[in-house]
Amino acid sequence: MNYIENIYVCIAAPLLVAIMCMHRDNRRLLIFFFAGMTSCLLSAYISTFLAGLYGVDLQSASLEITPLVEESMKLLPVLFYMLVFEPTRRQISGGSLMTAAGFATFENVCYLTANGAEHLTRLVIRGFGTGSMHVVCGAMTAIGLVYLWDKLWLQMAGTVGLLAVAITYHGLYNILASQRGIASTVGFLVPVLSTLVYLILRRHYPHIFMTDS
Amino acid sequence: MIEMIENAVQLIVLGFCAVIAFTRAMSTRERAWLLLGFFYAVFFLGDLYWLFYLIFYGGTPSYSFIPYLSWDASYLFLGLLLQYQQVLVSWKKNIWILLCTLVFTVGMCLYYMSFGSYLSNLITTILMSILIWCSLSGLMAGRKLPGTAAKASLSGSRMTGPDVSGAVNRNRDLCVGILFFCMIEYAMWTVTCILDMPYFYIYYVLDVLLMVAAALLIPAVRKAVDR
Repeated sequence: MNYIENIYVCIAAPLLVAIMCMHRDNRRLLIFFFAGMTSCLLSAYISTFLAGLYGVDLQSASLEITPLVEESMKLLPVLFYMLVFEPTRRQISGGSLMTAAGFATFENVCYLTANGAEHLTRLVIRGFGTGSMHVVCGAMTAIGLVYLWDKLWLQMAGTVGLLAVAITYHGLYNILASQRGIASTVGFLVPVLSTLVYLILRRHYPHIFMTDS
Repeated sequence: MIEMIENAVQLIVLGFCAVIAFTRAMSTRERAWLLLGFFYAVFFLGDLYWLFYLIFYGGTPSYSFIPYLSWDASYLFLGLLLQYQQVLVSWKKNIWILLCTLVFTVGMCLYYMSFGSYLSNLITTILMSILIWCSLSGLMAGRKLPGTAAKASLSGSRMTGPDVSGAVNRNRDLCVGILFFCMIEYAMWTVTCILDMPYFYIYYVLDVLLMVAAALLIPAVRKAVDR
């Protein structure tokens, strides 16, 4: 039995205290981190519910349902922020990345409690793999949301399209990561390499990523 | 085995096309190339997911939400490409084309629903209707497209007589290509519903044609956007 609510409360409590004590800009980032963790918890509930509804076993659920639920849930805090407040592009992309980081952190903590923390090498690979995957997916949607589309209809439809890209990318990662041996290693390496490509692109094409309006 | 080879060939073609489209998008900063690149990339990812599932689990996914979502998203990007190129000049002028398109797509949708999921077929039908309607409207227009002319004038190029006539049919190849792609998709879906093993090779022939149609979108977009 994995008491993820209890783990969530333990991690969320100090974060909430810190959020109350912080200044505005730092507080915003920490709130997104907290929202990412909350999205992860809710995703686990929804995925379990859907798996039960369709009568799917745990492995099939993690390959076919979880990516869909997780990526959609991860987008919600950022969408809420965009619709309620009037953030700048930089604030939106920062928020999206912090949500992804919070999500990945909570997922890793749950993985540790379920599978133990003995094998450091494997945990390092998994930590970077999962972390990079969530950040890449978050960045993908954020770029679609704020940087690539200038018209509203393009922004809406394009974001749905890029969300589909993120979901499929996540699904591919889950398929590879659930294997043993070389396939699993490739699965963990792909997001890390994707992050590197993202960083290189950001360095060479700053006009796409750095507009602050 | 043959399904894996078919998927692998598709992946090679789509991956190659995606690289070309994204490279063009970066060098020209033209959004049409970016949308085309996304079309290839999303289709590629859907195929890759399907292929990995075949390789690692020896069968197709039981609940194919993810690959179908991916393929639907690729149609969405094609629709965005047509919309961005301002192929559809007027809703009212093309209402008859829309009605004819809907008769075809909804009819096919009802037929496919007897084999597969309702929701997935409905989403695909909506996207395909948009694609076919916009492509047919673009083909039927046959006159100067104000959007294309406006885009060209915004970019600074002066639209003289010959240029304007060139702008008339700039999107025509793109419309033909997308229409061809949609029709082959429909033919493939129908073949999977009606044909059994001895005649199933027709599906693979259509699959090759689909990849040809997808690859031909590159010269079509080049003609539509390059000035």
